[in-house]
Amino acid sequence: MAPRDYTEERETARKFLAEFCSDGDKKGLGKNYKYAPQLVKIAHREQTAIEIDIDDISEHDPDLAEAIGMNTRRYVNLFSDIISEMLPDYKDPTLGPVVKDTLDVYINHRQRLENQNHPEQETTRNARNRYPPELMRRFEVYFKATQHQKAQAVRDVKAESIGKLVCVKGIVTRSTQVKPMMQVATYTCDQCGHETYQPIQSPVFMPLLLCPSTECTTNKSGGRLYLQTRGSKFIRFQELKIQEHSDQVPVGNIPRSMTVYCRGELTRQAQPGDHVLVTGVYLPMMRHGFKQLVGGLLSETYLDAHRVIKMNKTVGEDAGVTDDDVLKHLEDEDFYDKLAYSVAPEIYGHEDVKKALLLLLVGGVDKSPKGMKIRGNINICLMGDPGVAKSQLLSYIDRLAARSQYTTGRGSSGVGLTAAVLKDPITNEMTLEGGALVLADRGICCIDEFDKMMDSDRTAIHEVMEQQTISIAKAGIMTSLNARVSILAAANPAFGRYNPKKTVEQNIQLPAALLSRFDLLWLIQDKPDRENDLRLAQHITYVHQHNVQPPSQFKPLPMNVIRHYISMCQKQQPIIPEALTEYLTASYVELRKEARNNKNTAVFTSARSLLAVLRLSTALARLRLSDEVSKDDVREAIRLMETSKASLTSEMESGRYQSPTDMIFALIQEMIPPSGPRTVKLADIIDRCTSKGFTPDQVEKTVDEYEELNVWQVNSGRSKLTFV
Amino acid sequence: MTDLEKYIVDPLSYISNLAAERKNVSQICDIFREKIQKGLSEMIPSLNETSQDSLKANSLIKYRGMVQDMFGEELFPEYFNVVDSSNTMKMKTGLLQDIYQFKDGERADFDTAQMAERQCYYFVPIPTENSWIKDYYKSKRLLEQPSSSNYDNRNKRNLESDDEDSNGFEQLSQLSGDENQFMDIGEVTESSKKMKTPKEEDKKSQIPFNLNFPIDTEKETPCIGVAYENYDDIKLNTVYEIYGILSNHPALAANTLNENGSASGFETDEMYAKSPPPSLVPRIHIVLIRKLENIDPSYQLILKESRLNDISLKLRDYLQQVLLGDRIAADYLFCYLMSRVYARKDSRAIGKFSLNLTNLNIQSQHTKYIYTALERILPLSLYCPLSLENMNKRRMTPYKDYKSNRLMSGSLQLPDGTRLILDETALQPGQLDTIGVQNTRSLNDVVCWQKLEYDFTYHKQEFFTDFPVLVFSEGKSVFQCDCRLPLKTIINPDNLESYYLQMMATQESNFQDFRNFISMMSFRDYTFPDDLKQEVEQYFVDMRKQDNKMTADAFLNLLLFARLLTLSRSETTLTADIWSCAKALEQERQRRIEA
Repeated sequence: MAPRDYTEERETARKFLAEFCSDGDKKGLGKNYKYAPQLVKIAHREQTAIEIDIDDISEHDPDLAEAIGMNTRRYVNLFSDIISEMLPDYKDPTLGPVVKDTLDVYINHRQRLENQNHPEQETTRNARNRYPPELMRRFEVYFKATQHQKAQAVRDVKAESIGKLVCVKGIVTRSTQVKPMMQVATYTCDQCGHETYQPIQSPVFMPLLLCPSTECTTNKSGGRLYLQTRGSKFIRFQELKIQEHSDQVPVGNIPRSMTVYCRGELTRQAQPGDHVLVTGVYLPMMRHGFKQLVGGLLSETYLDAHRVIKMNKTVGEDAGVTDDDVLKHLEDEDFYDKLAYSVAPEIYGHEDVKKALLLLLVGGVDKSPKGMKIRGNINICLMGDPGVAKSQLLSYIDRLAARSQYTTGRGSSGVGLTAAVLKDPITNEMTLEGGALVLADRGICCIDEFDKMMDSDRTAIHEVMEQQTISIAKAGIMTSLNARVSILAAANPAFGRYNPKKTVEQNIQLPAALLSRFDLLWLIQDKPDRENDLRLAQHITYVHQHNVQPPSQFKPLPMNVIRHYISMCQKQQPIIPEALTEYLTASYVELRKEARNNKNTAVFTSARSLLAVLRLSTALARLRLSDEVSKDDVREAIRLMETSKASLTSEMESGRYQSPTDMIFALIQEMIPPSGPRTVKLADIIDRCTSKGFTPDQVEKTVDEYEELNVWQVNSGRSKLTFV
Repeated sequence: MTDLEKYIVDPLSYISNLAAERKNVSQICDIFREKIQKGLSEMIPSLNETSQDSLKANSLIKYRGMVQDMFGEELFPEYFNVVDSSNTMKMKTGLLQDIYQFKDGERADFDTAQMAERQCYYFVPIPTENSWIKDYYKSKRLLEQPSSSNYDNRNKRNLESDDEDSNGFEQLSQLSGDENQFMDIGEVTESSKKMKTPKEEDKKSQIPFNLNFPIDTEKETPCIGVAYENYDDIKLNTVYEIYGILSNHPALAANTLNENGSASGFETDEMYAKSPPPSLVPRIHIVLIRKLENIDPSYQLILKESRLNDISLKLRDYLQQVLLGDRIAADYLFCYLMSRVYARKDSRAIGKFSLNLTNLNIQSQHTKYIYTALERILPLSLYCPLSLENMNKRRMTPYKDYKSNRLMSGSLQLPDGTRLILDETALQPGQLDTIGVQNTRSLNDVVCWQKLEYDFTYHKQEFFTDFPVLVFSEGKSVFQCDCRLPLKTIINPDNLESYYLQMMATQESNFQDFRNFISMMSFRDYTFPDDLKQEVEQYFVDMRKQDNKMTADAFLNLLLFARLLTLSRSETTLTADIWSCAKALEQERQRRIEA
């Protein structure tokens, strides 16, 4: 590689800083200079850090951009020099004089003194005595890595990255206090009074002892140097230790860590526990003293930070997933099923519950017509006998959701679910502390043991579930906190087991007003069911036999992919097309009718049910990444509602066991025309019964059986049935 | 000295020659690997059995241990130039060594050095390794020594000359220390003084170095393994046999370093933790690392198939005697010995078979005797009396200490395959403190899921384990075991101690067979024939109809039990006989529980 021409590059860099601009702003006022205004600010000490985006440089000169990435340290110095040279031109006299600080006074003083002593020229001073540029500089140059540079894991930063600009993400595990670090040491000579400067790069330095000034060296007076604290320049310095994210660690390894040096403006950016993205130069640590002698053969490394950014949990973990990764799955035909399967794959079955949970994660669309707020968040309540994996489902959703709180109805802290007003023990001020529901704002609140909730919370939760706010009027504080949460609740039946003879309200001892706020109520039960059992048995034996998943089975999508997909879905704002309104009203009317006819429905059907259908169908549209709700979405939403209701009611029927014959008889009875002759066509009966899942054989048997009992008579052609 | 022996005694000279030819690490290691595989391995002394004093520095040694911690990478100059007083430049390598011994007037030119990285791992001697394995290695060593007495003598002489060498080196280093141009910083004189008296080290290291053994009673030496390649194959908590170059120069200890003041914040703590005194923790530069698939050293595949059935019957008898005549319990215990996690599906560990033997007498110390009898036939086992004191004493799960940047070990940081035997009869009513509660939770994680959550303060990280658990308790265990069986003893000896001593003495000759049988059969492939599939599935469906107790888990356990029973009968394919036998045993177990 040919040696780089640094003088030429200085010119390029100078031009870049002065001229780089983005295209004109809205007013069309020509160009928007990016760096020039910053230089003005720096000249006036209003800004200390200047961050140079390598993307901008590569627009200007791709070659230079690459060189910076490879040998960053050098270019920091180069740019610093250029900026110091350019600064005087950027002083705006209209802004008044620059505010001076102690160091300026010091330097001014020195310059004046020097002019008195050596009025002719500076040549009398040797190079060592000149002011080092670091002393005069009041700004810090940082580079911002290009967008294309992906954040690496600590373990991927290898020896070949030494001296290069790298991006590393991780979690801060330790940080030192911010300490002053000497950048330029200033000494005075006790003989000639000259000042000597020593720029310092490493954490440890060897103080100068002998005065290097011409006066002392020619006279051989052996002047001793004394360190001057006031004349030296210090910079803030902090050391951080970052550790890999857990998902970057291969199985069977433990997370690796890395030391980061932060200087100046970059200190105090992160605290232990923060997820950070650090851009910096990977450098070997300078050895000193005895260690250099022995070691020599080893060296530790650190990252000289150029940029420290705090990230939130999800961004950090999902950074590796791109839209494309997710979209390639979208093409699969049964993507919806697969997605549902990938929710808590360790729990076998319960596909519909999982689908519902998926919709809860995505959420419907919020609407606020004429100031009225209609929530889009979907609330789900899971009920069921102990030990049917309710809590596992909850904790899985808690892990999967980007923002969530897991709590039990009893709540562990005094704050409880909603919010509490607390007195600060030191200042005696009243402060508000949010409970789980407030903390989960814009997320999901998983509440286990929902039935064991405290009364005070129970009243508050009514408001949360419909208005999505929490109002507080306590101890002189009156306020309303946002709690835009989806509630996923799990409740145990009050009598140990779900008693099908009682209503839902009685079973979990919650008022109907609260229950109706749940869009879906599921009863999860572990019932013996021949077909399911056989499937389960086959599944288990297969796994046992071959140590692998059955081949036909689909591999669950990893959590971060689902998470990414959900965040993509949430950006969609699907609308309900005009054409669908009729279908919706019709289905609602149908629902109401059914509810009226069917006295033993466990759940109440109200206007809330219609809203629930709307929410579910918008969520389904979002899941397809579509901006319009389709008829299929509505149909699926209604199906989910029906199955959720069925999960509550089906148990009742089996409570008093009915043979197929009894059920068919009931069906036939329903078919009797309300007026006129009490006859029913046999063909109609078979039609109706087969649609309900009975075989013609069973129907024949029923007809014969009841004929013998003289309940009805069948005509000789076996086409009509007349009740006696 | 033959050529081969020279490889052991002075491998570094070979390395510098090879490096001069610009061979890379894997080529150099390949040469050593070939030599080791060609029979050199028997001659190489092992750090496990030999004390460090009798090993020569920079010689080739072997070590068997478990990776307890990963110290991460360090940078070193792969090639660098050394300039001597006459200004001639020579290329040297930093491969497979820590310290370059400067000669008079020499200085290194690190600016032109070619840097590379290597990974450091903290090895501890295999925790819970039972004494018969240690005895085996020791006796093997004794057997070998007479034959290579020649070598031993030489070894001794070498040690002496080595002493001289190192003395010489100290003088040299003192000289070079004063003149070394790199040492423009720091107290030069003090540091070289320190080097002259490495014995001061003991005095200085006032804080005892935490060797971080999972089991406190460990006596062997831990070491730091430095790997140059194939890092990805080195996993935590895995047992390896390593061959490498011993590096234990006293100057490697951190406490001589940090007085010179590494000024920056937390570096000192970490440095101290990561560069322990080499007299306690030597470094080994690895040329060959291989996973010890089977801990049992006497494990040979040549156990004749025809004998397997015979041994199986004998082992069953032995276990019956151990359990004082309970035939059914012996079958279950046998199955327990066969179990291991052979697959993981979702969060479930398939193949785990945690057995809970109940109805054990608290006073009689019966549990201890059972353990001693099992210890003799198991390669790795940990007896863990769950007394309150034990539970509250120390964290069982490893956690990360960010101050020293180390993974602090816990008594559950064990290699896979360790049989964990929990004795609940030692439990007394009382208070569990925070540590006790955590430990209970960790133990429960192992029993139920075969996983442990290591605490990294900011997050927990799951590590899969394979510690088959056996719980002794009086009533039902506090842990949710897969299988509970009340013991029904038939023999009631007056003196348990003499009974067990006598019984074990008579069985002594069979132990070797038993060990081999367990090592061999538990890893055998097992097939589930298709013709039984229908029957088995039907059984599940029928049982579901009968009562609610038959859950998917219970069914899975039954299948697993059939598998283990098959293996314990020295078969590899499930037969209808064994299936019905498994069902019968399970029914008998249910009866006992209900009784």
